Amino acid sequence: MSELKTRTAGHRQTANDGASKPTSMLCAGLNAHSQLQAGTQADVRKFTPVEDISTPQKGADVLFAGWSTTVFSSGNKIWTQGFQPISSTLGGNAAHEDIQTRSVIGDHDGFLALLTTSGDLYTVFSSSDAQSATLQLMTTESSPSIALIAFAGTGRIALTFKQAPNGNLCHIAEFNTLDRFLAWYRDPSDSDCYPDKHHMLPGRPAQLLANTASFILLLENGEVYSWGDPRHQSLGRAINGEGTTKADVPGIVEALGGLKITKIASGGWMSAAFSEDGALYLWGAAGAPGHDRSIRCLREAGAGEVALVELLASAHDEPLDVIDVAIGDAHVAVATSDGRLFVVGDNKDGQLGLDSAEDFIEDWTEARGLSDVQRVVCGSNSTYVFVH
Amino acid sequence: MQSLADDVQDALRTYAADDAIKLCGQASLYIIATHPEKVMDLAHDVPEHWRRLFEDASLHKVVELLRAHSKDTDLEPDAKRRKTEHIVVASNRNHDWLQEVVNVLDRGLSLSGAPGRPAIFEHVLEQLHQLTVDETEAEERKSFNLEKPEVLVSEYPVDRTSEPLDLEGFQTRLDTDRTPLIITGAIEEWPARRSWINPSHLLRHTLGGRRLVPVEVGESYVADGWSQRMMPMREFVATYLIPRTPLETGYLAQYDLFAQIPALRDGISIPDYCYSTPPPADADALKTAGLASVQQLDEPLLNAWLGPKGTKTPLHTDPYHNILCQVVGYKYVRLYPPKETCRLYPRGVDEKGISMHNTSQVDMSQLWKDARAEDVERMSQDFPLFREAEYVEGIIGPGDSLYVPLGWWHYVESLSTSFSTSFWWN
Repeated sequence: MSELKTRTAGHRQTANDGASKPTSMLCAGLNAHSQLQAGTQADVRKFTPVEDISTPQKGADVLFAGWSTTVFSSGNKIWTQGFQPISSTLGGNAAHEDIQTRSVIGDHDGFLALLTTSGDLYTVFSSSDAQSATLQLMTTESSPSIALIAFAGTGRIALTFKQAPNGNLCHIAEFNTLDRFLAWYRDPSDSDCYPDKHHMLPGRPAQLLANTASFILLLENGEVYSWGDPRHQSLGRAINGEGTTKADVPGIVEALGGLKITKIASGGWMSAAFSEDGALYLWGAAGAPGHDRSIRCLREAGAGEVALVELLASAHDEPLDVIDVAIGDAHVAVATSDGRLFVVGDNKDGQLGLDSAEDFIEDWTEARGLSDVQRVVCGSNSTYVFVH
Repeated sequence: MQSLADDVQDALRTYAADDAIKLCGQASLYIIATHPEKVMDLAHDVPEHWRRLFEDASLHKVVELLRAHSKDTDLEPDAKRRKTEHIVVASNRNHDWLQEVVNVLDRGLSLSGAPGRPAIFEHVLEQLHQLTVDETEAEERKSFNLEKPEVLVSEYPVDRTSEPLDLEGFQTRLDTDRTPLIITGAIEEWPARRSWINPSHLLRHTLGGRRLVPVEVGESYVADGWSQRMMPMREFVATYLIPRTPLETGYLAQYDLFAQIPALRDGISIPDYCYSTPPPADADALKTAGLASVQQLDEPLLNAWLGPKGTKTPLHTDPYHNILCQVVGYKYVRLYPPKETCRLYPRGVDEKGISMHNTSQVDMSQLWKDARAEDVERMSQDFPLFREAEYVEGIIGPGDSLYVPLGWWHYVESLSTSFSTSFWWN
């Protein structure tokens, strides 16, 4: 019952133009634990600035947006808003450099673990009275060297191992549960703790994500692989027939063949990828089995196909270039190069930020009133937008 | 309704020591009473702890609805008289709060299976039933179309007994003859034989027809555009059962209506024949699709089949022995033995990955009555061996019971409004 929550630091907001304009953060969506806006439990149905009274917001980042908790970071400080109470500093007070987060995993109860670019794994420990929680470093000299980690809604963990600088073979390990992964991490030599699955692919991993029941991997050469539960076209590729790879083994998403993909996103039963020339592709289905609403462009794609999403500023324009995409349990948010935000899908909790009472929006809709959108992050039922 | 809401809320405060719901974590339980719908949205999964969460969240939502309604009616003077008026004018369905409560209850029951609190569901449904006893619906004065069809003259009729058989008689026949059999008059004692002729019986026992039932809409489960949806029983009756020429076919098929509505269970009983010992399956029957994954049943599996004239169940097999009891109305059946499987062109796996090996590609609906020459011709070209396959056929009417041996292919088409119950056993 967990959501995708993995992100790479490589896509941290940076003021590319060197002008360092301050960035602010806006949010919309499920707020039943006051994780978006303190002092209320009502849905936030239009994009509202994130308030954070205790710590200045400038330069703050969203590490994880879960069903009940949002986790923020600034430098090495990590704090939360919502159900799970965390206030922690990575590396303790002795750390002088900013520690870069590479992957973050969590579920509906909150944040579970964080992996840094140097391969340090921090897990969340709650106090016995559940009144507070801290991050504890698990990594020792004998720990496995891992680069990326992802946690699917089914409870499965997938990870990639660190590669040598000129290595070209990507090793992926899978564990059936988080506990099994942690047991192996503590004692990788114990044969009872070995990974439940192991895969090898040619290439260097850039991003590893999970959604409800599948994993998706982006390699540095721009290829995308997917594996897991194939229902609802969530893998974006065929799984039976000549020349295909089975569902539970990483298989290349051929519909993206020849494209150099820059970034992937995943959530619920959907995944998305955009290419270096700004074209966005989406596949899967918005909503759990039995859900009766659907996103139009996905409805019209067939099995093993992906939908090319074309977002227009107005009817007669060329499609806009996409610079960021994020996916929640059943909604998608996209930032375009001209600073706009487009959204589609589930809006039951107001997560599309359109100030609309509609439960579900089938067609891509621009979230008006926002300009200079740089980046977008989605929680299972919420959306965070970074604007200049 | 306030005291009913209080009762339910009190009961929800207690959790059993080993209640699986605790596995869902604290965040969801923290807001389950104040935000039951958000928690229901989260809990859409199969393991027991999530079904428990969905179950409790549904009941918390029911408490919310009961209190809201109670507040509304308390504002009126002479609340009791108002309440009765409120119900009799139930034709204003936009404001039918009772339907809203039933929607949450039935959805909660069907999605969760009530693993933790079945008694609360029963209690609430009983209390709500009291509110509907005086209702009258327009549908109740109508009746089902039960016109007797033309007699079927066939060269290959299904064997038929002239009198009801008892268990011993059935077993004796089973020991020597594994072919289908129609037993006349075995279910005459069922109260359902008399009470199911009127729609009012169905509506009265489903809270004025508000209980939600799954309806299959479309020609047949292999036709394009076929779909299933939950709808109130009164909508099913009014839209798909009563009209002489409905726009679409709607079929309440293969559904254990009796588990959902225990009061209807009293109208039927399990035929003795389900307790007979079938002979071991022959080589052909052993290959029946799905047989390998089927469990030994302690009790027969019960299903209701309620639909208009013209429902078609495509030629298929089941991995169980079956007694199909015709309570109201008439059905045409055609049966092929397992040894004919090679001539019946079973389907493969469909594009969503679902196995359809138990269903034939041949569309029987075009071929058994008033068959057009071009349809017969096309069938001979597409499925050349089909015309050589041996079969038996017949029409079952009210009071008949049809024995379908395990693995026998059967096609069923209703010739009038029909209500049947099937009992699967092994």
